[in-house]
Amino acid sequence: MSGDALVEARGLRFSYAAGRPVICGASLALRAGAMGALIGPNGCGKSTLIRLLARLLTPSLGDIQFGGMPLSSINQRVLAKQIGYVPQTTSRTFPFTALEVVLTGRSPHISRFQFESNRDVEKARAALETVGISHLAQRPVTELSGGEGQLVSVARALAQEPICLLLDEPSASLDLKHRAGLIRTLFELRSRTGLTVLMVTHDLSLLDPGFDIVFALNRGTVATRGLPSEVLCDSVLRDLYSDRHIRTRRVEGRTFVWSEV
Amino acid sequence: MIGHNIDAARERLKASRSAARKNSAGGAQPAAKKRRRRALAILLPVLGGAAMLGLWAGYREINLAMLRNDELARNILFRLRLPRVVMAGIIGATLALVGAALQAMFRNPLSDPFTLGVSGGGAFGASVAIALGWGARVSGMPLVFLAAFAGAAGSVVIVYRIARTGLVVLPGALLLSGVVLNLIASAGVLTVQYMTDPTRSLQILRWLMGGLDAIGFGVIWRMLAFLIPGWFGLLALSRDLQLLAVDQETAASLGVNVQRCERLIYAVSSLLVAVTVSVGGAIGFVGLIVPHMVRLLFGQDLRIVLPCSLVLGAAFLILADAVARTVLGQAELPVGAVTGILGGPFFLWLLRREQQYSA
Repeated sequence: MSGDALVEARGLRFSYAAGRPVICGASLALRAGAMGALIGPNGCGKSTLIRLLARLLTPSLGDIQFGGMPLSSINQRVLAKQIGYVPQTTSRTFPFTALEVVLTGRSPHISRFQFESNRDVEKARAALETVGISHLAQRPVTELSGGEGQLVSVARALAQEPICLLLDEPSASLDLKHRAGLIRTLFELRSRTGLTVLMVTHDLSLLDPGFDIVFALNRGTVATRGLPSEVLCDSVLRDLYSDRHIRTRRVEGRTFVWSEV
Repeated sequence: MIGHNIDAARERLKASRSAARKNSAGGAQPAAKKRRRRALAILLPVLGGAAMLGLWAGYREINLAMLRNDELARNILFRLRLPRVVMAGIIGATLALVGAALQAMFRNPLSDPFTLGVSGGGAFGASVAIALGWGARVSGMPLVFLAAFAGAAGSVVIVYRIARTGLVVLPGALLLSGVVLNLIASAGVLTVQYMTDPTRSLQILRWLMGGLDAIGFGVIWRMLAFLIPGWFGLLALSRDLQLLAVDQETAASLGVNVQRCERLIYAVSSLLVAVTVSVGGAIGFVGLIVPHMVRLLFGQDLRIVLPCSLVLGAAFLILADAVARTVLGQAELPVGAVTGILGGPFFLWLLRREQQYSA
């Protein structure tokens, strides 16, 4: 399984303070340059797992390797240049401009007492351009819609120039156009820079075709993994979501998934 | 109808604001470093002017001619007014800096040493020390100061423990626990005052109102020995605070050691507030008003907000103290009363604005 895996987790276990374990025995491996998706029912531990992989949380058991090294042994600043994390939601208290927020993505690359150089500002602007929100650069983030805010977060993570991007439901409040645009951007980056992506999503129609691997998480453990075509089928999904109304259909090489009302 | 008009006016205001923003965004936005230099170039003369005004203001008129040949005037200026202006400056600077740092760390614009109960805790600690007549020193440090530090640090820890659930600091719980802690602390102070003898009780009362009397520079040097390292400590954390103010989880993913950073800020803030409280009493709202003025004037970037708060905070308290010394003629108003009268309504205005934001 290992070998060329960039991210590899084995037997992870985690529980929030004095609660039942959210993650119990989850294992996954993602090779460099792969596009991976993490799916599963609400509350199955997707966000927790991705936080563990981003080292925002520490597993109580099990180990995570990143680039062949134990994740916990990597210096935090070094890691910040390698792994970009896009949270589901971000706090928006102060009216920082979108550009200022995106510029924070450059901070792992500059020393503590330095300001961003013009080159950093250019990179931040380019990241805004990539996700198609250059026009929002000077807008306060407090005035943006949910979807626009998500795109700012993605742009921030791109400005960080990581080799691995972990995204927690980045497409949740995006419209159809930006949802497809985001996936297209990720594919482009993958083919141009070899970016490795792991994305939590509920939007199963985004996964096929193009994703290399889908991890189906159920009750804190990876229940099924495989190509989208293998995971996105009636039997697996009905089991995963415990919903016998789920249907799938393949149309023009894509799998459509819905649940009968 | 009236409501409609107000709505329309608000829309127009919004439109004109965003137009103004577009205009300013037309060229490249000046890099943060340049903006900081420009901001300080504006604020430092303001501080200089405030200091001049502070020296000039007072019951007794002093002019340059008198300085040359009037011993009394010289004494008043150099031994009374100058130390007082310096004292007001360093206390104002400290409170504003701590306010700006706490607001960023808690991502709550209503945070300030006063509203979070830090000053209250410090005041309680100090009044216990005064009531017990602890004039003594422990390895060179007055016990009143140590007691204030213990009180301030204690209340920071309590407020934070209550307000924090997992990764999230609940803003409502934060302020409420700060308020309740302040109430408990002031009840504690009242109890102490009631039980102690009248002289000390009066001493506590006078000191609680906040005062900046200083004769000579002895106290000031001793304060600066603590304050200057504290200032540099917080300023050195500007970048981490900037990331924390944007989003805590993102900050962690960008390489900020959130827990260590927060602990450092607690420790340094409590120390700084304790120093100011044990000398100047609980002076409220400086830490609230000044960072807001700075953000309105110079933007949100913490690497600009922190140093500018330091400078403007000094100017602000010097001016507030000048008002306190002159407004009643020969008598003197406690400076805490002046900042309270200014700051209370300002806090309410901010609270209302925040409500509208979140609505």
